[in-house]
Amino acid sequence: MQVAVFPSGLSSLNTLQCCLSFISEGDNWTCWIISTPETRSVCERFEEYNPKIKAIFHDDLEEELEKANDDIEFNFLVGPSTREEQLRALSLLFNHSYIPKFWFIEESPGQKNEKRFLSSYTDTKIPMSILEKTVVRSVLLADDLSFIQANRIIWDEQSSRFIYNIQFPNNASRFGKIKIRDFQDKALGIFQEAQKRFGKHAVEGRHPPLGRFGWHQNAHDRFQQAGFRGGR
Amino acid sequence: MSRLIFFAQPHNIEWAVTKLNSTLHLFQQQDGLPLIERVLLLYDNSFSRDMIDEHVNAIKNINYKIDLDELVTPTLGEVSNWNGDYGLRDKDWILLPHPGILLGKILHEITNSFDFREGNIGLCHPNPDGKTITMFALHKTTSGPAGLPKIRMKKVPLETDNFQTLKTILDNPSNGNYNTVLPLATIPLVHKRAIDILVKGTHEESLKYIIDNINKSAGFGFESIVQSILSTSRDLTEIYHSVSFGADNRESQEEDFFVLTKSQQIIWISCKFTKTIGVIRNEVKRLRLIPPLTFPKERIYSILATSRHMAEKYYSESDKDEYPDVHVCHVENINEKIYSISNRDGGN
Repeated sequence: MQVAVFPSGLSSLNTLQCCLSFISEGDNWTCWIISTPETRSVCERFEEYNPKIKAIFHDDLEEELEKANDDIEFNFLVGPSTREEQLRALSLLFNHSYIPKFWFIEESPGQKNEKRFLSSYTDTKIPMSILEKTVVRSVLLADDLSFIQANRIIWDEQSSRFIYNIQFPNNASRFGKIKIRDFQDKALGIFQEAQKRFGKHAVEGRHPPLGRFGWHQNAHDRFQQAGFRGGR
Repeated sequence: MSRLIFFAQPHNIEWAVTKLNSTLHLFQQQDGLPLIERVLLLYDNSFSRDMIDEHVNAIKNINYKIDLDELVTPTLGEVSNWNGDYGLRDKDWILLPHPGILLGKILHEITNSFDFREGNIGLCHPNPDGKTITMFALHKTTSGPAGLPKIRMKKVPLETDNFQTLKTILDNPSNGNYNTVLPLATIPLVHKRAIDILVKGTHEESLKYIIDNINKSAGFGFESIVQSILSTSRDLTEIYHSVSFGADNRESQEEDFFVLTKSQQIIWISCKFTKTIGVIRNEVKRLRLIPPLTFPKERIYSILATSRHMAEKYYSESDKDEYPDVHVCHVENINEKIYSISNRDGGN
């Protein structure tokens, strides 16, 4: 029996995508996601969504390992969560005499789904499953759903990310320096809030070319520095 | 003989060198840790000689007697020639690199390496708190006809000296200029008088005093008072004023102060001398944003400095918990707040 085990990162949908990708390998695969106080509730939602996913709070991993069958082969995904959580989980595996097979997330620069894999260091590759919008909607909390709807943030299946396109008002070209600054603060606030909710790497911010509104180079620099993509 | 293995990093070299420095320093200072006599520096073809030399200088500055090996690999993720003379061996210590792909590669090598079948390997993980390094000691044995390995892993957190500076963070090429503020023994008399009026007097009295005695622009005058207060704080190790961001000195954003506490937290301080509560509220909302610094966000705090009257008005009229990470202070309690942040109780 194959068990993929790894701590959940704050980019929870990325965690779900990795779980579903491992599980898609066959009936003999299950996934243990290790949660922390910050990720516990979302991991439990994933467990409800797919019974082959088991959410284990980090303090309970040792107990689970003591109960585990001898025929389990562990597969440890390195990448999601903090380094501390990864090494904490790994220590427990080692100290219970398990030597897992290690995996990492392989991404091409374009980061399109069809070019993302779970790869082992022995050249095995598992294509990353696509997370459809309906799946995303079914696992998100009501509050997160309201947030993305209110700010017109959309889920992009190709890149497996939320896309926040800044909405510019019709009179943006008449904005003075202070109004531009206030507008940028508001956009940055929404972007950072989205990153806080869904994970830093799970949200992409975009803006149209700012030259269209006659905005100065500084405004473009500030958006770039905050992590937005978009032309001058 | 113990060896430290370090993966050079292509980005944020200052931080990489800082981690290398503090780890080597820890090995020199800490009882129970072995003496590092050799360093293996791994990097790929994309690294320039200058970038490598920065790492080499950091190593030699700690101990010029350390033997240094450099290993160039096709890509960092594909450390195909990390074997033979360079391969893992007993008593190696590895400073864990940031990318997950490399951590996985290291763990794969530890568990599967033919070079390293028995012995001890240490993993060093500098924590995001900037003050501790966690050491993981791994003991590997290989037994049985199938040669299956067994690994035991033990965690040991160790305190280290703080090596990271705010200057290295602000010197990032995508940032602009800043002014360094030096510590002061006492607040100048003219500022002391201004503080007294800002605490006890009306807005108009403060405004008049600042314009007549400090600066024709009340905003700049108020900033200079705050600067004097900050420069007497014993909890700050670095203070920078008029910090601008934006490549090529275009100054897309300019902030009043960024300071570093003794406990390695960054505080973003904005000064507002105003009698309009709306200005304070808007600024508090802005200060909840994460500033463009490469630094763990958990260790970044914000303070809005204003007059006592406005700080009290803000807290009496606003929901204190709406932006709990932003502290509204006045000239009399700002250093007190810095002390509480530095000592990690940071509440209001």
